[in-house]
Amino acid sequence: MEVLNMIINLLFSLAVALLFSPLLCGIINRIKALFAGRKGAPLLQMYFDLYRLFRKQTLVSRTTTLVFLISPVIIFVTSLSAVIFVPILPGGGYISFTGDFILLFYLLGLGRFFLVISALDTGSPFEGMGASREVFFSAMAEPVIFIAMLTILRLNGAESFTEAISTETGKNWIILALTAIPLFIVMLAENARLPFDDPNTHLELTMIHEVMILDNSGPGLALLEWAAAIKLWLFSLIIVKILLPVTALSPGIYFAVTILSVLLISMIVGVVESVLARSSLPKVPQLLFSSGIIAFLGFFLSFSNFFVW
Amino acid sequence: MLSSYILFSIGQKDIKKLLAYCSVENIGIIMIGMGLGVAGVSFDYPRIALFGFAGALLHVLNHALFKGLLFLGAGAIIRETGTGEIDKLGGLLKKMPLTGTLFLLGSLAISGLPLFNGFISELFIYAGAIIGAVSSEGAILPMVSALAILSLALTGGLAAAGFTKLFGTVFLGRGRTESLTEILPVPGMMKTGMIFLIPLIVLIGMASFLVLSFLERPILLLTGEAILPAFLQLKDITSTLSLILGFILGAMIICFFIYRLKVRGKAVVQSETWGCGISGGDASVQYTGSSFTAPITERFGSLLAARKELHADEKIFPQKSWHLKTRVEDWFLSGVFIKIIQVLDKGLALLRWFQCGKAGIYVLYIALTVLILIIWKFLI
Repeated sequence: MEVLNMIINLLFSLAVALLFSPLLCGIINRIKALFAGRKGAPLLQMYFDLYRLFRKQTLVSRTTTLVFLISPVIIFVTSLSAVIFVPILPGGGYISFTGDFILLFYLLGLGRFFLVISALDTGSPFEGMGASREVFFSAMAEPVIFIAMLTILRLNGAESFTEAISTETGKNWIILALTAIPLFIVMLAENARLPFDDPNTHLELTMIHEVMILDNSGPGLALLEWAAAIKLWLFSLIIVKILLPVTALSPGIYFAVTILSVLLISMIVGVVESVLARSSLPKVPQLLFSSGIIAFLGFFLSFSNFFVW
Repeated sequence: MLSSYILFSIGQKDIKKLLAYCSVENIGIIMIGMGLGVAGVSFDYPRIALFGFAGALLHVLNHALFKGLLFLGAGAIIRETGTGEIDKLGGLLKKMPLTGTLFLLGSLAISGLPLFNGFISELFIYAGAIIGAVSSEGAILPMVSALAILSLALTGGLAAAGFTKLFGTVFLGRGRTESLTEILPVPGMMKTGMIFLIPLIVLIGMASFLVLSFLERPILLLTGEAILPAFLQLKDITSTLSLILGFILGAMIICFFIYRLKVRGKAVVQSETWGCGISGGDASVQYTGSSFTAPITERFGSLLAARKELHADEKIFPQKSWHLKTRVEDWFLSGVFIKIIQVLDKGLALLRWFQCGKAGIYVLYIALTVLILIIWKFLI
């Protein structure tokens, strides 16, 4: 049955996202450690961290309200549900409608809204600073993502993003590169990676994501960390699905190639993080604006038929 | 262009002004939808016309709902606390839980976030613009549609910024003035008014296919019969959407119950907010509303006519404290709009001699008018 096929496909995407996303963080940290000449934490460290956090007690500040308690759940569910719009296996059933990527990114926006207000709930200036920067950067990053998405849709003549990545027709490497680069930059911005934020610290220079979850603990913190990993997985998967051709590979091989490509993207993120320093705050909008220009260039080029190979 | 007023909304310090400028932004969104609809009709793309007009009309309704809710909430806040200045409030969620929760739902709706009605109308407009950008021929309509999507995305993000600022500063954290510790509860009728608007907000948000039958006739008036096949696609989209959103809401509820079990299992200890070793600062260490959106207002400072007044005591051992005042001015209102009204006022003041206040002269005016009309009748 078609519907059953689709549900199984979606559940499979969710399960893969849940299982593999902590591995991405492990890879990034291992690459950073290698660059620094250290041995680094085990690759599976985040799994151990999640397990440890789930067993811990929750500490709650007197200043906070119910918003602080329910936010981890909402953020986790929205990040996870955004994954269903990037099905990992092609050809199997997928949900598709015009403007589905809008729902994808606005679900992430819903999670972000609650992250920001749970940060403000603590009444601490640390979280306030992180929240203030987060809303600013994400407001700048959204238009860039949407232009990149539009380019992909135009390239494949589809009106639905899931359809565009699952049944690919046109391949135009220049435009794809011009789309993948802004998406990569936005991925760094949205997931609080260098040069936008340093996930290792929460000092004033680098207070964005890491500091908004400062007062969370126990299972709530586990959910928030996992949600951040899932978001990273999601963006990497989007980039991979855009770039990988959907040829007639058997599902198993295609799956393995996709997973390896996502791990490769996380390795690239690790290298970028090790090589770049945190860019100063006034430079961040400039960086996002330039990536927007690149994305718009890609969109502009999709109007012509020069480079069809 | 109207949507850019969200920037003014973000810079405001008064609840009502923030909401008012946000309304201007929402009218901008409606105009984008209308524009897409008209473009669809004139370029003969019925689907774009349908989505554009559907989104615009639905947004009119949605805006009435959630803006009404927000203003009612603002009224409750101002009544109970005596002030509408965001930077003087704080921590109100504990004092007025129901009002605060309803205000949160209204903020989520106006930011266009899923599960609420704002998202549905914005999605329609987005979908129309996507069709315009992807499936239309030529270059003008795709470019314009892409611009529409850009501005929708930017204003959506900034609206979320503005409303996290509003909700976070007013309701969360700690109160920023002393008088906030004694607040009377909000009257029941005020709460009833707000609760009244919630069902429709949630209904349109979660079960959007129900609204389509209401939209059908107005849109037919605007576009003509050609759009009827496209209506099926709209029905399709809204049904799929409602199904997905229903599942997501269900997943949230289930996860929340699992989470509650896990968290209640170990005692939740109440403590102080972590202060990096310097605990016990008073409420003024928190971010104020204006500092929360300071990156945005500074970045767009030239557009916003942001003004900064700094009274500084520049000596090495300062005697007086430093004062910083920032504000955002609506230059369109003061520079253009009010100027026009002033010119009109001056011009019309020249005619003031006409109203002299003597009843006899007014009777003379009436007699003169009747005389002129009689002469006119005989001349023509």
